Amino acid sequence: MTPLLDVRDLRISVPVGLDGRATAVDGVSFSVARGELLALVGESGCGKSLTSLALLRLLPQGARLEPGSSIRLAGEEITTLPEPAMRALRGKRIGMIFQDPMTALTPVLRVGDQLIETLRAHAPLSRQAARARAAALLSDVGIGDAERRLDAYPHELSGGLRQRVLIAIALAGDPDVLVADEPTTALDVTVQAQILELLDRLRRERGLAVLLVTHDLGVVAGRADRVAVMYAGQIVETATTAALFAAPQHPYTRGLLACVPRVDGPRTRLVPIPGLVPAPGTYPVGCRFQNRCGDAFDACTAAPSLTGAAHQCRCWLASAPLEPTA
Amino acid sequence: MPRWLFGRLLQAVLTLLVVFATVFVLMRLAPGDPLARLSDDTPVSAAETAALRARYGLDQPLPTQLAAFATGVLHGDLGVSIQFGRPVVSLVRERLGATLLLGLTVLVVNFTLGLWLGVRQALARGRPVDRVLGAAGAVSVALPSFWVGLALVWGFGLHAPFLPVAGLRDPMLDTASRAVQWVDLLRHLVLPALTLSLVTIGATMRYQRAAMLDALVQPFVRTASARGLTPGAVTHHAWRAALVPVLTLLGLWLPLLVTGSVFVEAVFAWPGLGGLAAQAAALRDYPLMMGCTMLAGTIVVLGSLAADIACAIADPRLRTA
Amino acid sequence: MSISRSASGRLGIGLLSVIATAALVLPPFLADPMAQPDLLGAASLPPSAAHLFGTDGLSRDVLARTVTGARWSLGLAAPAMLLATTVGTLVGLAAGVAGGTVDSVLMRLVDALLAIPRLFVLLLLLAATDQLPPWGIALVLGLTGWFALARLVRAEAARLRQAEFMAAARALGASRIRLALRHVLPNAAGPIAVAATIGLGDAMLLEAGLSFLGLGIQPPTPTWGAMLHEGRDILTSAPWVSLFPGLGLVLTVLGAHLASDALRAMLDPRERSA
Repeated sequence: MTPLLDVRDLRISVPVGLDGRATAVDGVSFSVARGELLALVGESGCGKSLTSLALLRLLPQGARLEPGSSIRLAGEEITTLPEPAMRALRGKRIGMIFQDPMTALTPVLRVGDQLIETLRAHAPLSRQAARARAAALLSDVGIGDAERRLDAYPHELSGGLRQRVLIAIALAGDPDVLVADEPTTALDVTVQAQILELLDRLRRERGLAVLLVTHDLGVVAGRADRVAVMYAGQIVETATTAALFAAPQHPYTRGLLACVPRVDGPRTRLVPIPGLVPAPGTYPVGCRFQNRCGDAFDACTAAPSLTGAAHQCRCWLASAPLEPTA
Repeated sequence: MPRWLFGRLLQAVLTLLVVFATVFVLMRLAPGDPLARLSDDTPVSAAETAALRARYGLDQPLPTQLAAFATGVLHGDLGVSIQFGRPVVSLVRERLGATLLLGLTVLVVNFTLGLWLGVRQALARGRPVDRVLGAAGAVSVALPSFWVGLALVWGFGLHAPFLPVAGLRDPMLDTASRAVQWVDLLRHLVLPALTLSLVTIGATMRYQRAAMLDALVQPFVRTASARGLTPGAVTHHAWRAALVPVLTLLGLWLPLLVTGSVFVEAVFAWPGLGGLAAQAAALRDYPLMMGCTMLAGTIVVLGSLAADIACAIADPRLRTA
Repeated sequence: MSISRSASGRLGIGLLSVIATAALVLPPFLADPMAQPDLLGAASLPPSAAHLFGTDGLSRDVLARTVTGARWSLGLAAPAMLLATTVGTLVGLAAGVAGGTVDSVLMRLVDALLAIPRLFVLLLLLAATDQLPPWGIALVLGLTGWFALARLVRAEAARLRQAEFMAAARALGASRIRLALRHVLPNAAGPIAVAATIGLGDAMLLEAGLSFLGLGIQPPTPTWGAMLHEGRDILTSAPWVSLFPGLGLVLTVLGAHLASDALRAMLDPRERSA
């Protein structure tokens, strides 16, 4: 089955210092199939947000998509599309949800107006038809009393409701792919579970391909089909969720899992990963994790590549440790 | 009436009261005798001076004067002009229309052209359009209104006499049709309005530019783009958010507009409140001066109130009492 | 980033410096600004080699008068601005650090004072007093120019009052005055400087305007405003008499504004990274 979203060799450079450039996303590849939820996991600064923004070509000022990067939507290459075509794609074929619902909605316009505006941007609808559709969408995302809520302003709604509104807006154009950049980080824990449940339901009902970007492994555990772990601009491990949690191969993944307190099993000490994520441009030569890795050895001064089939890993320990390949 | 509206109205009334009291106190405390200059133009005997003094209550102690004044104000009586010999209220009422016409015209120009240019500047940040407009704006703010007025009087009076340079209307058109009179009024309005607009538009452009730049980097602008909205629609979102700071500042601006009209009215012989105030000051006409000042203060307070209400309409988050 | 990094800031400071220096240094080398050498033959002459800016209706050299005018305009506006800055800072500090009733009363008063257009207050005061000497004009200019600054300083003081280090200092027994001077003032210094430079320009424009109306400095003293007042009658026949003083005003005020802009950009962390 051809994946709906296929990213190959994504490279994004960012300005550094006065006039230098550094690669913040370095050869990232992943794919998401229809109905599948792929979680892109990593700490802040690993480049996962930039990756998600690149899909909609919404990179911040100064960041550039490097040549050689490929993003295919249903087999069609979108990195080379002219801007008007890209705009037609946004919201209609790929929808995106951002992290902080408070600042993501225009504060001076009513929620309903923002939703209706989006609906009418993607389909020829009359005001009444759009309003009816908007109310239906709000109900669909679990907002009760939808008709009345349409007239509310963002600041009059709770964080959870606002995020639901954002999800409704993202789905207004009936896209096939949904990109969610840390959708629950700014919310309370109980609300987080509700929002994730909602995303899951919508995914199943509409057959969406979902890319969930997060730093929270707890979010990943119950929901994702597959997980891609990102570190310092590279994917270091990809596997099904079950496989990743049961048998993590990369030392970084193991380190991340060791940081998460477990309710099941004996109470063990939480072991943090020493050191900090290197900034773009300051990566060590060879494996980027070597300075923080407890298992580093001399082969690590050469950069490892992703090896493996269903369960991929970028580490010399995972591949046969005989000859380091360039 | 919504709570927030009531609260704002109450505040405005309170401020007005303080304005009235302050004007009165300023006037009475300032050193000098208002009647001293009276005999410069017409010989006045000591007896007549004393009579005038009694008539204007200038020989009473301060608290009595304040009480008399306050009662007068409540009855709509602001005293009688020493110079014209007519009630201040009627003089002021005659002139108010001209000042409001001039002020509102300039406000409209600023609100349309000024805001549009400011948005253009923000969208073209750093590029030549921005720099040129920015330089023009900086010069605009530094221009003295009376000097610009003089330049226009010289230019149009001497070299391009198709626009009148003085007054409100052409007296020879008194018998002409209403339409002709209206056109005549508008022709007379052009130069004073142009002068005042030239010296105020720079500030409007600058505020709108800054507010727009602030709004454009907000996360909701990125969300608007992500939804697939056209660049025009995205700009609209940013502009709506940028509107409030501009409206606020425009409210603080009203003193400038009323002040600016003093010089412009003097240069173009525009029969408004500002010109009246300048005359009153030159002739040491106490009651008239006070009346003009209080009216100016009232216009400012009411204008600020209007701007405040406009802000609350533009940004629902401000609708708290 | 120092102020000299910004091109417009450099221009602003440059303008101000040139004008101030010219005002200080040039007059001895120029004609007597008050002399009326030849009322019949040399009045209202256009600019020429002999008189670079022409002569006015009383055959006085306009260049000399314009340069002397710079002395007057700056010389009146600067003390006025200093007075306004001092009073505004003191009132703002008092209100901001004291808080409570004192704060409310003071700010209510300031709000009302701000509502009355400054020009009208000046007209009011000038109407009440007979012929004010120049220092009197500077005085009233200063006394009417501190309201906005007081609000600004008060806001800064009120903001800092909430800050934790203030509570710590109070707990250590620091008096209110000490708090105001040692903690609030340094923080507010930036905005005060910005407001002061703008205030300089405002004071100049107001003084010129009042003189233009015949209420400020009286002719034959050559302040720029007074020159414009005199030049008005001969506007059509001798426009240069009105051109140059006005130009001087524009350039000086522009200089003050540009300098203040550069100051503000220097202080605003957002602009610094732009």
